[in-house]
Amino acid sequence: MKSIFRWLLGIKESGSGVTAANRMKLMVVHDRYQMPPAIVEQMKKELLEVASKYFEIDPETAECVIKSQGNRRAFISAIVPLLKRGQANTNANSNNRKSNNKNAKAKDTRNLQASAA
Amino acid sequence: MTETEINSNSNFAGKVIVVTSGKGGVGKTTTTANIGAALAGLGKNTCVIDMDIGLRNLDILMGLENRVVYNLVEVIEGTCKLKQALVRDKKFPNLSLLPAAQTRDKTSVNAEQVKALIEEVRKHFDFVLVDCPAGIESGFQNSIAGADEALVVVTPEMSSVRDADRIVGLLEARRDQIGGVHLIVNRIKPGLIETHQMMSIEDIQEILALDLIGMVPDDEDIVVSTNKGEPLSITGSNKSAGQAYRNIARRLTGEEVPFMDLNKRLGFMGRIKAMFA
Repeated sequence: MKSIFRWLLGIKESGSGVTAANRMKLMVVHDRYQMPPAIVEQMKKELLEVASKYFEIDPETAECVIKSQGNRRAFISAIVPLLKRGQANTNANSNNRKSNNKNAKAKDTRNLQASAA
Repeated sequence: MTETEINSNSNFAGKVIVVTSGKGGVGKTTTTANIGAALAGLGKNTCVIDMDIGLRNLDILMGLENRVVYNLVEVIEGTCKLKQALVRDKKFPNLSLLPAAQTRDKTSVNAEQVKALIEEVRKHFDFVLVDCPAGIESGFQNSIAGADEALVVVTPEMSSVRDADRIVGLLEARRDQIGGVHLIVNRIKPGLIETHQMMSIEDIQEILALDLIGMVPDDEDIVVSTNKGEPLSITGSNKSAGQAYRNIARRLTGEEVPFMDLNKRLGFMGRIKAMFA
C-alpha cells in the first residue's frame, strides 16, 4: 500500500542522494589513508595470491575494500569465496570429478573473511 | 569616530570558536554573523573576528561596513589599539566586530601573532567567533591558532563534505588545543532529502563522525537579510534559518535544545511526500 503511494508520489528507494553518500563513504577513506583505489586493487591481487596458496578460491567474486567505521576509523574488508575442495580447474582430475558430481560448480557458502583494524 | 568601548572587566577569558569549512561558499561568514548576533541576543558579550584578510565580508553581513576604521592587521602591527579597531553593533552593544584588512593578504600576519591577539580579545568577551577563510593554507592555520572549539560548516554536497573531512583531519591533529569539533549542516533542502535526492544529515554525520550542533534549512530570506545587513537570527521567524542559528547559539551556551522539524518548511505536497518517504 505504502509502496503504491510512494510510486504515485515519485519517491524512489534510492535516489542520487544515496549514491552520493555511498561514493562519499568510499572516497573519504581513500583520502584519509592517502590510498588511491588502484593501490587497493593491487593489494587485493596480492591477498588473493596468498589465499590461493592455502585454499581453492573464486577470484571472480572476491572483494576487497576499505570501509569506514564510526569515529573516523577504518578497516580492510576482504571477502574471498572458497570453492569446494578439488573443484579447482587446475586439478588434473577435474573432468572425472565433474562427471561424478553434477553440482561441482556450486560454491562453498563459507567465505574466508579477513578484517584488520 | 570615537573609540568603541569594550567590556571593562578584563578577566573574562571567553570561549574562542573558529567557524571553518575547507570549501568556499558554504556559508561560513553567514554562520558567523548569525550565531554572533544570536549569542549577543542571549546577553553574551560577543566578538566576531574576520580572519579573511584581503577578502573582507563579515562587516557587510553585519551591516557595519561604513563604520570600519582600523582592522586586525593594524592591531597586530601596533598601528592602533584593539579597542580602536573593534566596531560595536548598532542593535547590540554587547556585540563587536574585529574587521579584516581589505588591502593586505593572508601572509601579513602569522599564527603566533593571531594567537596573541586572540588571547587579548578573549579577556573582554564571553564568546569570540573567528570567521576562517576558505582553504587549508596559512589563513586557516592563523584562524585556528587561538581556538578552543570549532564549528565545521558543510552543505549536503559531495565536494563540501570531502573538503570538510580534510579540515576535520587537520583539527584532529590539534586535539589537545581544540577540544570540541561540532558539525553544522547548512542549506538543507528538506524536499530533496525526503525524495532521497540529497545526502541525508545522518549520512553526513556518519561520514564526518562529528557531533551535530545545527541543521540550517536553505532559506531565501538569508539573501534579504544579507542585503539589509541584518542577520536573520535577529529578525527571522521560528521556521527560518534564523531560528536554526538561534538554536545553535543556545547550544553553544550549554543549553539542550531539540532540533527543528525541517519538514515544517515543506509545502503541502512536500509534507505528503515526507509522510511516505
